[in-house]
Amino acid sequence: MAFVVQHFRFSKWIHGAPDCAVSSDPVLQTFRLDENTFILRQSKCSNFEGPFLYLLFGHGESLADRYWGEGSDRTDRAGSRDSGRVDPAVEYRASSERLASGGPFAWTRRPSRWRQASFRARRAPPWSSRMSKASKRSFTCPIGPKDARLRFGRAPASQSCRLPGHEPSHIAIYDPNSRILLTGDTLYPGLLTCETGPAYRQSANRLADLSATFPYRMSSVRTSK
Amino acid sequence: MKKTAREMYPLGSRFQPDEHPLPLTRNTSEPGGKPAKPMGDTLHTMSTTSFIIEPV
Repeated sequence: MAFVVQHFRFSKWIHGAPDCAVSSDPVLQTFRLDENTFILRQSKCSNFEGPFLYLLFGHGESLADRYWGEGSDRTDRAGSRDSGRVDPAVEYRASSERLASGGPFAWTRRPSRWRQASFRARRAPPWSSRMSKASKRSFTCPIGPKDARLRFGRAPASQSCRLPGHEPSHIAIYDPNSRILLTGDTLYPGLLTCETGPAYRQSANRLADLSATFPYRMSSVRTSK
Repeated sequence: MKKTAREMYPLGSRFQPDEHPLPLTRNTSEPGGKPAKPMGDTLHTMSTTSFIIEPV
């Protein structure tokens, strides 16, 4: 999972350890972008890809866009107590939403392993039953000039569009509140795997168009060092 | 991927201290115009400064 950002710098990400058995790094590193936006990253000691989860809180509903890897529900570190535990700041924010009472997210791309984290015990219902009509429409957003809006109590609404190629159900999400463009596995610095070449090429062009459409200047993007 | 162009950590590596910066710039956000374009019509493995594209 990758992202295009403006106006902020990320804190330093953890990068695994030569000996994960003795590492003191958390299994889930949390970056709080603002009151309603959290970026979680799984430790490479737990999954070598260092998967991300983006948690966008709205009013009454929330959206979790994830690339969540294997290993989040178990510890590879002897004696670890915090495997899969979510940062207290996320817990606190979630406590005021339906998330805390068993209605977790309005939408997610696919059955999530999020429940394997600390929310596992909250008896979350099947994800599909919690999808709003708008969210379901967004899931079938065609590649074209009309982008779907994800309405989950967050204003202005986030937008999504399908980006097949890496895999058929892949999408990008732009959140105007945080000015983050989530490009998913279609684009990130690293190994990009393509399931379907022509679809990937079409999605890549689509992503370039999207990045030019959003109301911010990408030339002013700051990058972490 | 490493900060060094075209270099990757071995798949499965649990220690990647020299990871490529993750936020993207305009130059790296256009795979249609940058990495994917010179591939032609046949999908094949190709590496650039920030990406390695590989069919699966």
